[in-house]
Amino acid sequence: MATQAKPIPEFKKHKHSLESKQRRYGYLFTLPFVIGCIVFVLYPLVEAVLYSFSDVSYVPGEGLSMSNFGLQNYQSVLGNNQEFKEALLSSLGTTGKNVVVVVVFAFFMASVLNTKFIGRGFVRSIMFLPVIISTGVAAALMNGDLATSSMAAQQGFAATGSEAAVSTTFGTMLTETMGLSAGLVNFIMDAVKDISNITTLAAVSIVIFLAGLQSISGSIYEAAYMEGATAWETFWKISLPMVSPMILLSVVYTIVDSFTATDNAVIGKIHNVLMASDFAPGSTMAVIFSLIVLVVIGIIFAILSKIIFYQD
Amino acid sequence: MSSMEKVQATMTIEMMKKQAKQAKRKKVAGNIVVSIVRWIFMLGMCFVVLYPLFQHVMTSFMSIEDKYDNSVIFIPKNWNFNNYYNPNSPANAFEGLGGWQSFINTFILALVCSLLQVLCSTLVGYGLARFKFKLNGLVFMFVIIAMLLPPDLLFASRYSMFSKLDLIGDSMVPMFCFAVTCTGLKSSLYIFMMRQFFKGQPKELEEAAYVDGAGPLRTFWSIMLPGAVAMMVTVFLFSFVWQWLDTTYTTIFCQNMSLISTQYTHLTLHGGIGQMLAHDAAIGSSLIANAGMVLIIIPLIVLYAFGQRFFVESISRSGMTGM
Repeated sequence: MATQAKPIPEFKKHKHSLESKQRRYGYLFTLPFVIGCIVFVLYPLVEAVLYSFSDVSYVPGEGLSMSNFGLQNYQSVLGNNQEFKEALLSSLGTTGKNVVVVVVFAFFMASVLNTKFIGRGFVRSIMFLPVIISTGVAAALMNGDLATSSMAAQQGFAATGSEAAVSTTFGTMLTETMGLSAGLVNFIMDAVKDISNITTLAAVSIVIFLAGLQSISGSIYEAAYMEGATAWETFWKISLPMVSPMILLSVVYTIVDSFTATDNAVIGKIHNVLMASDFAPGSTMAVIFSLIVLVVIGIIFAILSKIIFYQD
Repeated sequence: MSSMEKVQATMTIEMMKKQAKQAKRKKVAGNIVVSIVRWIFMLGMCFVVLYPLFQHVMTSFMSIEDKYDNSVIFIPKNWNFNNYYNPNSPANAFEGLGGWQSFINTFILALVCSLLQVLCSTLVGYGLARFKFKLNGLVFMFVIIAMLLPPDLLFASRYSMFSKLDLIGDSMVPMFCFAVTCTGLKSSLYIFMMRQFFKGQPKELEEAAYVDGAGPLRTFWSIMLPGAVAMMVTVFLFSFVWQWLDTTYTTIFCQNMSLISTQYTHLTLHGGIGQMLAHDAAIGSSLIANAGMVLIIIPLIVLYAFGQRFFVESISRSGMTGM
């Protein structure tokens, strides 16, 4: 009896130690972020949430002091601040429209850039340019630049007339002769007209998808080819599932990027209010906005995590 | 009959050969069509991206007279390199950006920050992707929360934290602190990228390493890292570019340092020097601003051209290990 009973506790002990090892290494690997999160994210966040529930005033020499705790900020922001609500709705609308177009376009671009053709490296470098041009200093120097805006205006006069004529003719051709629904055609036509903006928004996702596609090993494609799979089947059965973790990443990033971009209506408002040292209403708006974005992303996660293929 | 059968057999073989040839020809023709369509599409996309940039680059070589000349659209008549550098006047892009000092400082800041971010986000991403621990979900949720919070919201507390330590204004330490703890500029995105990447990698190799007696650290270092080079280079490129161009963090935490992001507003200020009309001055400073933009983005383009080579190398390497 004793000999039979012996292996069982040993086995349990072993399993337990593997689990605790996993736990220990999990914390070890994530330690940098856990520390940073507590010091640089959670602590400031808790402070900001406290500001949002109180009246904040600046006391010279002491810093910020809070008084009069309550829901008054939330009441004023949600109740009376029509401007904030309108900005919120408009930014939700543009984000929703952008995400679909941007992610599909980025995946398509990355797939094309992943095929072999002459000058591939050159085109890849060019598709990275929007990442550079659309951020920080470069964007600030490019937008509202006097010399080039006069240039654009000069050519604009010549271009707009013919362009509009072509696009309306093409649109009616698609809807009337081919029987496509007008809504869909308009949606696509708008996306095509907006191509330079979409390329800018999609640039990060293109690079992410490209890196994802590159990390699929060639031997899988080889095996599929030997089994007689067509390019179409290979795309749906190999490329798409293998890159699906990156699709979640791209969707979430595009949403967050669109919500936190400096040209977002709400973020601009929050920035102005906070930089004017109006901490209480600024924090309140930021907290409300972040909660809404978090809910949106939570829904996206719930939907997409059912589709995504992970290797475990 | 048997000879008839033979003839039939040879005929069917001939037919099959013919069909195979036709199919091959069709395939070749199809490939040519595909590559032509792809080329046209790629040319179009390149045009969309390059056209605005081309305008800015060309404008940066123009002189003020060119802007008044209606016959000048893209190619300047009086090539003017003084927008970039002019030893006789402070109104030029290079000095407006703060000269060598500013470029070197920005380079150091961007390089150190991006290396730290690549290192730490790879560690954290791997930890989140592969180890089961109780708070895994919670930690990942906070990665997402840190990503979506407006940075302005956290700046007040962070600023007071570092100003108590007297590290505000002319020190890079705050930026390094954010980088090493993955809470800086877009750090959450990098963690997320690495996590998704490792989650998409097959588990068999690691399991084999564990069975062979390698610990998690060794498995990570010698099994998983070599396969992750492409993704790490991607993270590095993003991190470097965004840090190089960043204005949100540097203008608050490094405001007194000579950096591109703290100096670039001077570009448009020097235009008024000399005896010029107000409109001339505005155009002149705009030309200088264009030259400054070209100076700022050239190092980044060079960096990307190099980084891209890494992409390809790492694939061939990971292909060899069977990943």
